[in-house]
Amino acid sequence: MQYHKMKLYVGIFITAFLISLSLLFYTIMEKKGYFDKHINFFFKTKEASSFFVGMPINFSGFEIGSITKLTLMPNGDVKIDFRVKQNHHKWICENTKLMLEKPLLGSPTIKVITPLGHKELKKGSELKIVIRDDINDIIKDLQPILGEVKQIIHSINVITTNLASKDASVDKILKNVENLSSKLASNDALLDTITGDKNSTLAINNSLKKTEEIFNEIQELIKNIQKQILTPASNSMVVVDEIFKDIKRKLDTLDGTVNAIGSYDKELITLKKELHLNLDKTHQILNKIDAILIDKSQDKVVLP
Amino acid sequence: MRYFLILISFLIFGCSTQTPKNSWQYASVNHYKNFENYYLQNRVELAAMELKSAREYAKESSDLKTLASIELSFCALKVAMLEPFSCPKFDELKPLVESKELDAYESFLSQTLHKDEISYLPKQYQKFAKNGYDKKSGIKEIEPLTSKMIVASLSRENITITDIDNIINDASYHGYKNALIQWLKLKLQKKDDEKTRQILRLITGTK
Repeated sequence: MQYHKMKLYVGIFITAFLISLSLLFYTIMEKKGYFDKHINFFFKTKEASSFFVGMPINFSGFEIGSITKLTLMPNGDVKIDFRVKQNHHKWICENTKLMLEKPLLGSPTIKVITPLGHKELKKGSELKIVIRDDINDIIKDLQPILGEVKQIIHSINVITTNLASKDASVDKILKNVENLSSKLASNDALLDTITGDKNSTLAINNSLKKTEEIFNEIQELIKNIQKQILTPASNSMVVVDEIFKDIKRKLDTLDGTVNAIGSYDKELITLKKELHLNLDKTHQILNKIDAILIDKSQDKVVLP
Repeated sequence: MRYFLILISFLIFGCSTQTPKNSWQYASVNHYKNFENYYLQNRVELAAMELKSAREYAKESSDLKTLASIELSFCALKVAMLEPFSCPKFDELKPLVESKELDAYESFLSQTLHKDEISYLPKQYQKFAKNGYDKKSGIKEIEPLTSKMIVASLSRENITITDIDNIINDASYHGYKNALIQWLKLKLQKKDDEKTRQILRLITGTK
């Protein structure tokens, strides 16, 4: 009698288990959308390399469908079939366009662009696709900028070469002015003859000295400009080097601090204890996993 | 959906796992078995880790028989690797563990076995022990390989090159590198030949 009862319970249990399992599978499949109805459309393109079966079709960031088939047409075009879920049919209207976006980073995506207030497109209709290629667009935009950059670099090169050369015109002018002023300054008689006035001669002499000072300053300034133009890269490297040195110094200090504190600080001891406690807990969990995974056929050591 | 998952998880988990009360013992034996394999394969770090775990699990109980078995088995393995028998860790545990089998096994390894202890030995050794550690009692037939190596090691003065070659072949087949190295060394001691020397050089990676 008891055996029969046990059989009955086992039967009930197995039946309940199977029913639960089937319901679970059904629910999962339903959630995954296996039972959803779809509407098919297609578009044509020259190149199939960015498309693949299962590629999602997005509207406002939501997946509303996917590509189902890629076919090479006799004229060399590629026909791409896709389907959208029935409840998203409203987003595919008469003026709807698809846009293939090829971002610089990440995989390409198809976006649906729909103007409002149009009729739903009939199933099996063709849509137009626009291709937006981020990489190529960026390259196109960059080309004129690159030209300008080249020009700038060339100009800088010319300026720096002129400034650096001893035969450069700027340097020659400065030297000539310097010579003239020194000659004028040293020869008062010549000036006296020209001006006919000693005071004027003195004033001109002073002005010339001033001018010489100003030219010296200009020369210094030019040298500085030269440095600024010629050594930006090395300066940047020096900065980077400094940053790394600083990071290293900080890490060394931190390491030293941790070592120094580690030996006596109470908080750190507590922290260590907590860490040990956590390790123990991890160990306990591992023991439990071990207990589940162990081979339960032997509980005695077989002597070799 | 969530309740379904919970229900199913409980059902499956409840049906499939039942942790034994003496799980420490199973875990310890399992780790020891792993250790034995790694030790024979010369995978030193893994072997040490497994032995440590085996000992730790064995120490979860006051029944020290498992721990004693582990220590004595480890010493027996060392004998199989041609080391002289010595087992201080088992000696420490011996007064705390009552086991005629372990005592007999220890006597067998230390070659101080009494006749009345023979029946407590593992079966594969009984014939060999009865014949007074005579290699003629059929080393070749002894199974498993570790037992064969222990018996051969205990009668190493009398074994022939053929016996050693047998063991080397078996150890090679099982991939027991540690054993292979020791037995190749013994072969070289008995008979110096270039081929053996070259094999040893190759598998140990020495020049």
